[in-house]
Amino acid sequence: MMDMMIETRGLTKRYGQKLSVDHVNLSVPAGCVYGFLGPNGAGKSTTMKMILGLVKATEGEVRVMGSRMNNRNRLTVLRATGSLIESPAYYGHLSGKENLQIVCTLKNVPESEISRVLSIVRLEGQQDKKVSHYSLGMKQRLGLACALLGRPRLLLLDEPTNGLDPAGIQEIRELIISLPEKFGMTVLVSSHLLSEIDQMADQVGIIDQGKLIFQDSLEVLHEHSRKKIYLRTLNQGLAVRVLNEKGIVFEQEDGGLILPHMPDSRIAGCVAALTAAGVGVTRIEERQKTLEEIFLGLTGKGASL
Amino acid sequence: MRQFMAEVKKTRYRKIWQGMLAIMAVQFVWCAWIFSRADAGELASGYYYAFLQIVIMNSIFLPVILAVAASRIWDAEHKGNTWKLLGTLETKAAIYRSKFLLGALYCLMMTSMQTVMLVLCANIFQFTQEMPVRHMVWFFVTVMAVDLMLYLVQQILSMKYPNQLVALSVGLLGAFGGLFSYFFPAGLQKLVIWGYYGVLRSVDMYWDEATRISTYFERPMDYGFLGFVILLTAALYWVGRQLFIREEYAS
Repeated sequence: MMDMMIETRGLTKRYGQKLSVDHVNLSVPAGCVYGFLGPNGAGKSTTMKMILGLVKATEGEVRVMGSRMNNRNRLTVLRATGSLIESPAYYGHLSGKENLQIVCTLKNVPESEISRVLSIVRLEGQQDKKVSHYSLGMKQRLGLACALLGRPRLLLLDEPTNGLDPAGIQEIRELIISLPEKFGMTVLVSSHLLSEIDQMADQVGIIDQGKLIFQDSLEVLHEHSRKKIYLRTLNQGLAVRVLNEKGIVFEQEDGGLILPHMPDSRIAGCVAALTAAGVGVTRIEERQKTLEEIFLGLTGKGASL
Repeated sequence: MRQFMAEVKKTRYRKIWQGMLAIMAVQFVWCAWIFSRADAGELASGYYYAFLQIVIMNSIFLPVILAVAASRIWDAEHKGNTWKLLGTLETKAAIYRSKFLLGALYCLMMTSMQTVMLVLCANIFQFTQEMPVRHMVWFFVTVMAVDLMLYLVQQILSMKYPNQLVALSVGLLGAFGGLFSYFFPAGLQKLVIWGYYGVLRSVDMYWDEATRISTYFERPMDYGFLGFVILLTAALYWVGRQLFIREEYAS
């Protein structure tokens, strides 16, 4: 049984002197939601386009559902995939339903699929409206509906919540989360918003300046955050002197003291020393690095751009 | 076949066929007006008279209507940014071929309607000339060949430039160029592709200023030049296809 739905080896794209994607080894396990995270311009869309064969790779190979992609088998393999890359594609002069009819014709799937996908994305009420009159959110949902036609095994979604309002974002997020369980799909979803990936993905890949700098489960990403101990006292100045005398390394932050994670016995020793010196200890908290702090540490950039 | 059917569905509400019917209607009204005033001499060469009228009208209207058709067939993809979707469903060669076939069907229907219109005019206005079958076939083949050639020029422009004003301007200027090329010396006429309806005509007219009588006569059918037009059409198809296939779906 195949474990990986997508595998890339040394995938590279060079535009002139610029390396847009730099030897990326992506591994997307079957049945997961893979969050492909990175700042704008990191190479997410280019990587996804190379996976789909829309852009020719400078180097490297792509395997989708176990098959090495080439010009001869590309469309055969892609028949079991759906995609929504960058902005949604549509024919504005046609209704939503007519757009889906065209995709049905090209995908060679029965038009009975149309009502099914429209109900999944909740566009039944607007199916007869011209797409040029749709809001951005409705166009995104139509794009998703097109991608879902034919019950694909693999879905590639490039920033699917772009331009949506908070309600729309939540709706799409819940839909994406439900796809592996309800329909057995594997979803590769890209985003520049860490919070979004944090809520959707099981597996995470972080790309920055064309390089894949992290790839593992979301749990492992969270585990990478180092725990710290936060102390708040009634006499910060005296507390600083006491800890310096004990040789404890610390930082002052948030009106308190941040100590590195240490065994319970050492923490107890610090608290006892502070108390003995007459320093009233009012807070002892265990703190963990947030995903944002991890992301910042990895990329040097904020959690979103 | 699937790709072709998808292309047909995409042209819904684009009024491509209505545009064609409108042009045919204009041409018919023009012919009706001409032949309703024709004298016995002109009716005796009715078909030849009609061929020449249609050649002039084709030079004026067809470059424009073909530009509009190609633009309508291609600009829906540019406007809707559909390349990244289509790229996962069909090969670029298939996209190019399907759009060309739709345009070719358009040309075939127009040429067929013009041929039928000739026969209709002959019956309505009672041409006394016997139907010159050889010239009718030549008319059909040459108009079809020039239509396909000009459609391919427009297809390449509409495909290459998302702003359809470029392609439409070329069509409009081409129409003017084609019409004016009839005043050029014979050799120079062949440099203006929009004038090929006239270059390939199989009849001509002589106007006697003194007697004010037009005399219609046959011209040699230029099989060599027709062959050149067919080869040029094939070359345009191949060049356009290569240009389209080489461009990446980068954006």
